[in-house]
Amino acid sequence: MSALQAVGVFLGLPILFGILVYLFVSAPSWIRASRSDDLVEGGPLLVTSARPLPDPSRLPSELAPANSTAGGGVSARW
Amino acid sequence: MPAGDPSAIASGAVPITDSQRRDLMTIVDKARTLSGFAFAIYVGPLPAGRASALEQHATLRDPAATVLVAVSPAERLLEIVTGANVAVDLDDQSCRLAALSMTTSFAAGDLVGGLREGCAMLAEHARYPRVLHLDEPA
Repeated sequence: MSALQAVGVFLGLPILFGILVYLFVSAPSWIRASRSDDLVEGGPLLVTSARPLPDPSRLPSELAPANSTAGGGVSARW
Repeated sequence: MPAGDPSAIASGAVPITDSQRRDLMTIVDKARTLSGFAFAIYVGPLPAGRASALEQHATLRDPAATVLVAVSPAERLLEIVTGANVAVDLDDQSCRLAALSMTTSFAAGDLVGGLREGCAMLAEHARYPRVLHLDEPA
């Protein structure tokens, strides 16, 4: 084994391995950082869930029509 | 910029980031799973106060079985609107308790945290009683 090969094996390979480990450890945080997390610009925001689940404990005749008005609620300020 | 930043609120901007919006979607989905009712969160101006919230609630897909939590950070106003079918299980007293929890967090500048706590409370109170043999897995 020549001196150049020895340097390559005992110095080059560990350095290459260290660089690879560093890349694998750091890559996820780089990906997360590059994702957009800006403020939602523009108008108001409305987030809705999926449709309500059926309620087996109530007869259909007990239910108000789907398009009926609000039944209650409260207002508050802070 | 954190949610609830006073400068953003004063300018009328909606202080919600993309990741927080994803959090809100998770919050409404969990509340719906827990209670069986649909949930909606509105963050934006409510120029006519309660009337605006009622108007927003009426535009939802199934308003009778939906709880709307409407927040106007600029006006420091919170409106909870329950549909006619929800109101049977979720009374105004429970809504008042959830509103108190939410406004406490909002005052501390934690908009999403307040909505998370409040929606969880509303869903807990709105949870319909489980029916033997119908709700249990076979």
